[in-house]
Amino acid sequence: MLQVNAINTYYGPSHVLFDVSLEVEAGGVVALIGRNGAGKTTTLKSIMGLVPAARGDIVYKGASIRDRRPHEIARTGIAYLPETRGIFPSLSVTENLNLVAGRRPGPWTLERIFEMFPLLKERRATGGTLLSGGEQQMLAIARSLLMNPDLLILDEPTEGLAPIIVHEIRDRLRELKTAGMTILLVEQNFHLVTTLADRIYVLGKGQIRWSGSAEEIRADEAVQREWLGV
Amino acid sequence: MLTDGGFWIVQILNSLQLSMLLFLLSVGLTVIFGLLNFVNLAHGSLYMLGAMIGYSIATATGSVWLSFFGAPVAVMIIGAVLYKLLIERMRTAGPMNQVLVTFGLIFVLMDIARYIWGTDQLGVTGNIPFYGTIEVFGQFYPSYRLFIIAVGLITYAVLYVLLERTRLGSEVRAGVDDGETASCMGINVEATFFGVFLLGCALAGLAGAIALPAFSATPDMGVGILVPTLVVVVVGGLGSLKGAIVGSLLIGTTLTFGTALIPNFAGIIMYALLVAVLLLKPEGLYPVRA
Repeated sequence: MLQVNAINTYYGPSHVLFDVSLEVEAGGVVALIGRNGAGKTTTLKSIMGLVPAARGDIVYKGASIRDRRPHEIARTGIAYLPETRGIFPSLSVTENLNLVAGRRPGPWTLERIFEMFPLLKERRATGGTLLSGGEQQMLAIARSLLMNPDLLILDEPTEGLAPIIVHEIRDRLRELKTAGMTILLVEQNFHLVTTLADRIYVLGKGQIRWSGSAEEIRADEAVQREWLGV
Repeated sequence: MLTDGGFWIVQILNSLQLSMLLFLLSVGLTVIFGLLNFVNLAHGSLYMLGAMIGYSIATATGSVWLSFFGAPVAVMIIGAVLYKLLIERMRTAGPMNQVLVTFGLIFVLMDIARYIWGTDQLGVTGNIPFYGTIEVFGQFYPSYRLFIIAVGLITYAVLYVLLERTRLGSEVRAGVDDGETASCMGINVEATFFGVFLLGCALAGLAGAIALPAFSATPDMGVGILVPTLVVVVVGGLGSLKGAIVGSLLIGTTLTFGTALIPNFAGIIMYALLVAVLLLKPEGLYPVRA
């Protein structure tokens, strides 16, 4: 569904990504892991067109999206959930959701979202930033789903959240995987990654250093030591 | 003077009328600031062009009413040309370059106006809607100035509903909050911004057109109004509709009563207010970004 072919990305003069390639197949869950500053978020931002890649290509559903603008990429069916969660403080819970509702046809409706996240229904008139961190993350995931995406891109969905919320998010992600959602995930939680992902890429200093299955990385202590510091 | 109730009523109405003109100008400017991160010092010149074009429409057609519709449309078209030629290219040029270019634009537009309309004070006579005076709490007050107040209040109400109660309004607010994330929601932030910019230009043109029958128009009128408009934007908070209306009322009242009560200090009282707000709430009274 998504092929990233040897992209090189720069922040101004500094070269951040070096020939990064990865592939996400329809219905699969792919995780991108690595230390802070390895280039994980930049890879996701390059895919979304927020920090366009200077060289290489990004092919989605058979067409290059490298030079397209973020809103066009979003409309092709990629939902991106940034590390900062991206909840708009001036908008209430319902307004945050309505921003994307009905833009693309699909199985997710406001009613179904409120069924999956009853808490959001209770707090639907609340301002976006008056929610707790966990509630904000639930809202961010709910909003991504309401875009009825074909590919869901998540940047550290469990970062800074209480263990009980992390469990809830993990359960939701498992449900989505079972339902056949294609997911590209950046995540520091090694346990979550290895129980969820079909394929794992390890990024270090802007390059892909390793790729393989969850079983393989669990067994490979050298990779864990060198690139993850587990 | 101070115990005369009539003095207070007239000054309050004068404050409101100045505040509403400031609101029509500052609301466009503040949203352009907030959304586009663009400093458009030439916004006051659009007000001047609104008055000048309004004058030409009113004298050519004999209808002042027509100028209230024609001038905003004409100024919006001028705004669109400026956007495509200049502003779009200056988006990422940094604030200093934006200030220099739009500051230069003030003089270019002023000279163009002098070339077309001359340097005399222009005014419209005859066929002015709401001509005459009306009794307000025992005081006779020009009805037309009440009309200016009404236009400002109605504009605020329409913008409030548009911004707070429609999906388009949510998209604008999302874009002001975080443009990058808004674009990831499939919102064409650039197109939204362009629309908002045009609306801001039209409101500046409307302010000029409705100011014309009450005052007179000169090519430098855009410079005089620019400073209080910028003060309103900073005091109210960048990008905030509520900040624009509250800031306008604050500055309009301060200027009007300052001039009437302590004329020697009228020139600095607005700046004193600005400094006070910057010291106590540097992000403005109603900041959009937390």
